[in-house]
Amino acid sequence: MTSYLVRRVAGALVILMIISAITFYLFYAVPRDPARAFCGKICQPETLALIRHNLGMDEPLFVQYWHWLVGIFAGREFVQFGSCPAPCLGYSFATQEPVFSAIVDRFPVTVSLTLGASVVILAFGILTGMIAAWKVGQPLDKIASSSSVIGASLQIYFVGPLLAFYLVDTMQLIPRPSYVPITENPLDWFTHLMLPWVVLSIIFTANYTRMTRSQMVEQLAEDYVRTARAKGMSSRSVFFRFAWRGAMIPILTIFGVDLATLLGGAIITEQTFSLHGIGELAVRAVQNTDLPMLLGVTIVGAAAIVLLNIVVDVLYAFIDPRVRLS
Amino acid sequence: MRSHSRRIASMTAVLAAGALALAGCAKGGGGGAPQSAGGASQKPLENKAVSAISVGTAADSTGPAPEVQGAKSGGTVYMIDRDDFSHLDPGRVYVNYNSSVSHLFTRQLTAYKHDDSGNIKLVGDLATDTGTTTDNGKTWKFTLKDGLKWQDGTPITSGDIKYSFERLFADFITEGPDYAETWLVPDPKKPFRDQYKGPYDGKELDTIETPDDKTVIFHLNGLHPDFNFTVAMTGYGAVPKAQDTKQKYDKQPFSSGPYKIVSHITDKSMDLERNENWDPKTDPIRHAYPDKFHMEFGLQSQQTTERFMADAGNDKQAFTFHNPVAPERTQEVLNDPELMKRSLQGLTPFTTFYNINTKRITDVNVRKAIITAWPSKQIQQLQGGEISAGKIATTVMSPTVLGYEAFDLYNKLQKPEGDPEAAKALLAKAGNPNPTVVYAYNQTPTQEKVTVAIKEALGKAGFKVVAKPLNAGTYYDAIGPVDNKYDIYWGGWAADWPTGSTAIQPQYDGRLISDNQPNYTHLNMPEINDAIDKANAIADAAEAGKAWAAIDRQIMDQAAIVPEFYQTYFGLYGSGLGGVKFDPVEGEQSALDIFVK
Amino acid sequence: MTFPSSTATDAAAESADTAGTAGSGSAVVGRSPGQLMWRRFRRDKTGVVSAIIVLAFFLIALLAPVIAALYGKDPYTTYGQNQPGLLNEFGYPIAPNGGVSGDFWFGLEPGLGRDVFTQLVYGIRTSLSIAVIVTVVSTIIGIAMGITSGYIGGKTDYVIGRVIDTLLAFPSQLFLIVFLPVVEAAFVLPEEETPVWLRYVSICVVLTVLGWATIARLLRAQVLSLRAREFVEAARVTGASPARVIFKELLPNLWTPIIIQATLALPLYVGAEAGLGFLGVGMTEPTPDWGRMFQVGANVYHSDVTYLLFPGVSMLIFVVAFNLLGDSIRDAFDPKTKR
Repeated sequence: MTSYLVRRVAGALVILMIISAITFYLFYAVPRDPARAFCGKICQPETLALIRHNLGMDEPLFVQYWHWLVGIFAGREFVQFGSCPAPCLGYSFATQEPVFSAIVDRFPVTVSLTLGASVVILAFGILTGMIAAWKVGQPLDKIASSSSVIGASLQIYFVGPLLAFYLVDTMQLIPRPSYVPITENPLDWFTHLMLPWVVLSIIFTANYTRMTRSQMVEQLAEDYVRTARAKGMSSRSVFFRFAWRGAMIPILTIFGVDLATLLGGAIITEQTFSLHGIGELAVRAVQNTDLPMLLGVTIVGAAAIVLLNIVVDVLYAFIDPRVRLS
Repeated sequence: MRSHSRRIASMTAVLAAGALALAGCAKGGGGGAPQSAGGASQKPLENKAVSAISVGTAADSTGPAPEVQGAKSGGTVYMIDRDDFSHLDPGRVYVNYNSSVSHLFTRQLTAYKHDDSGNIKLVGDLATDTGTTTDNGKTWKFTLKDGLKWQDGTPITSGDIKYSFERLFADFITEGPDYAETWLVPDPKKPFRDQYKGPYDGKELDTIETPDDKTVIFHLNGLHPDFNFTVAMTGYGAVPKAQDTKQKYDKQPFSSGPYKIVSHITDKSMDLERNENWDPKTDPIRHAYPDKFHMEFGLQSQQTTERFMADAGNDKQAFTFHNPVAPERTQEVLNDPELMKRSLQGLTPFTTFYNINTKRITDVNVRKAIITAWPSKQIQQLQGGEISAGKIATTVMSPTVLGYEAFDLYNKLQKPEGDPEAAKALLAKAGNPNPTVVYAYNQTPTQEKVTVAIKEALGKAGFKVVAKPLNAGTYYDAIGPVDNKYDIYWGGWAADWPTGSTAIQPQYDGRLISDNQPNYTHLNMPEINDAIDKANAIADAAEAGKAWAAIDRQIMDQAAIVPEFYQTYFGLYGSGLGGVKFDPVEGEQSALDIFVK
Repeated sequence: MTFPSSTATDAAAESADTAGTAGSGSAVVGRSPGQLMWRRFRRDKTGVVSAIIVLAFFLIALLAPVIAALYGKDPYTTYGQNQPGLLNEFGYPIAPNGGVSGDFWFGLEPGLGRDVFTQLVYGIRTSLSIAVIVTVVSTIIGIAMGITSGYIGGKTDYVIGRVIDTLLAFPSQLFLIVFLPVVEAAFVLPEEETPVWLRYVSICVVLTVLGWATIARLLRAQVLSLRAREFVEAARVTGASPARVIFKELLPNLWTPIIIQATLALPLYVGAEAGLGFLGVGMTEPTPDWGRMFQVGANVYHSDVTYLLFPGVSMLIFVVAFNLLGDSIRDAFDPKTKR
């Protein structure tokens, strides 16, 4: 187990190194000049050169990358701005803050959004899927199945504003989405994120309804279920005590794969409701051609996905005793 | 996996949902009705200022500031806005938003005093008056008031003032204005940092003289009769030598004003408390009614608008420096008389315009045709109308500049949507009925739409428009080179102080043309250059104003720019506050007279 | 913008065990698999209706200029700005419901006052053509990589496998918005014009690069299992060249999962393309584009929710119809999955 984890983490680090090098070279090949923004309204060429020097932009690309790498462990100093403590993922010249602290600031928003949506997706998807499987062929099953087709076809950027218009603007049922730290006011945190959670989970829930249903139907045909039935166990206890366990394993696997997609959906959701999460940070960085920020967000995003996949694999081993990590 | 009937069910369901959604819009949509009502409650904006800017006397410069009616002390005022202040080190403050907050803890030699009728007066802030010059603006003498103290109780001396100017030459101070720096070194033509490197290696700047603790004398390298306006910029605010932490000073400046910073968390919040060592008797412009300020950042204008409209809890005592009413909520706000009672509107010093590259479009008639055909009205509508975007401009100078004269050479106020027929006539006169023009723009969703309108309007007059989208991050680099390949490109300007010299000279003095300089039109007319020199030498402010207005007319006659807007501001604040005012110099809300009701 | 991942793997899991049967099992009846599939499909009413709707969308896209000419408007003219009385001073349509009228069937775009109906019709062209191109190209690349990886095995398989794993594990939306400007900047200098086709090509390139991995992984698994089967072994033993084995023996057995995968992917690309437009990194003005309509819609919905409904509902209908069509095709190819 320990050696498995060590190997996985080491592998992840190598992948992240490669990605950071590629993105760094790609990004820095793009012509851009953050220096102009720090030069007063009437910008003298000498001042501009001085700022370029201050930002470390007058060095060769591989030296810049080396500084960036070292900065992650040792921190960096910028003449123009002061220090960027370790782990320094670079300094955003557009927003004038260390990239890492900007990401840390935004992290709770994106985590709240994706975690909450995950709960809705899994709880609601599995529940409806089980109901559908329990009542195969009956009206409930039909409703669950057909609404899942529509749900999967909806788009966040359509449903989001639409629900906001009806539920927030017109009926004033729920507050306008925003982020209130859970430490500040848990109730506000919940009510203000309700709409984003629902919107983000709509397109995903449908898949889980479908998957749960088909997995359950499959499990009910398995030998061990038949044995249990033959031994006189009621179909209700078979359904709720055995079959669902078997069904959960593939669903969890798929969920691990889906996390990356979910994070992508979070970007659109954040943009739709102007929540200041990582996604919104990335979109703003694209608009500003803020390369240090983009690089940082990319690396952190990649790291999160790689890490979560490791976690899912480990979890998998706990749920399914047949899986051995080695 | 699904039977046919089930799929038919979902098919029907989606069609039904579509129908429902479409039916729902019957209740929801439509922006028609409120429009007429909107116009009714909207006060027309006047083109103010003009002669309302004046230079005050020593009596105007003495404290305390006149009481605000109904004001009382105490309480906490909240400020909610989009961004954190990017710079607070006075030397690095140029943006109005940073300036607005700096007024609470940074003082300069001079400052602007506003009265209720909207008049602006330049008065002494740290200085007893607005400074004196005996040689038409080459030497300036300022005397400091008695009883001035830093937040730790030590006196503010002329040495501190001298030091504040010296440190502007340091390598980490690049964002602020550099007028004074250029004027204080021996040769204004050479880079100022080559001539003096700042005080950190122990060298002093000998063009600033401090004969005693109260007197500062500046020896400039040229005639600058409005230098007393220059030093009103926050960029020339006072910094104490004993407390200078260099780069770190940007986050925690040392206070000379009524409040001091007790905490500042980047991008989140900033808290101010009373500075007990500030003496109101020395200050002609600042009140300090509230005990505390709590400032919160990271809120888009949609969110602040929403919160001001809801007016709940602490938001009752909240204002915003910068965030305007979100354009998509403007209609709603205008139609709500209760909200309009706690709204502010006014003309900011910002003007926007489209530069016409006179190096490439050399025929003045073609340039005139561009202005004549320009879809000013459409562009205004695309950006939220007069109240959100601005008044359609017809001149170079903003109405907030001393000496502004209103004129409309191209009939833009009569035909704001463009006059293709008149433009065609001009093009015929130029002998070029179908010129090709290259329009470069910043690629944002709004600018893309503006481009569509421009293409359409110029096309009607016979122009062939080639639109070149530029990346927002490199826009100014692309239009910066003198030999750029574009004919028309957007620009914006605010005079650094409200006289014609900073409104006109940097942009239209043909001798200043070089890469990345603000003369983006590349206009180089000897008669205009001469007129600029003459206007610069006029000592009397009102006379100088007239001279600048004449130059304004000359530039417009050359059709060097298509003026776009005199930008307007429209904002809200909470119902529990009084004394919230619009600051026409910064173009946003002012905190100086605020009190908790 | 949902990117192919979960839905795709879901389908992969479903069809993985049945691929072989489609080819070999049908020979008994004496009809070609194609004929069989067609017969089954025709009996499926939902499938036929969905097919008609999807076809209608493609036809509308192809005939956009004809439709616009008959209707008498185009997607570029700013009607609302040219004719007074259509938009109010804030740029919103004066007539209720977003300016829907006999002249403007779907109303007017707030701000510029262009015709929504023609925008929508022309917008289909952009979205569908990008989706089709990306689907075709990424499927071809996926087939090539998947078969290479599965058939050759060894080190090649390992390398391709790792690339696929990396691509699948990444937050593709983030990469899309981050890389689009980079790809574009690699082609044009900042002072040069960015041509419309370049943005179009960049979108296609980025979507393809991030999209081929799903199908490649699926096909690799299929090839691995097929390679061990007797008929492939037999062909190899009789000295058939690798090309012959791939094209004559393997590929005919892979069409089913390929087509299923492609039908699943296409609506996702339509959504992804619109998502880019929504985030402001998609097609630029004045090219009509659904994504940008969503962007405008999300900005103006407080005052003019009608505008948002037209692209929203159109897209919903298209994606639902296409998904149902995909289901029907899958069922027709593969009757076993229909339980």
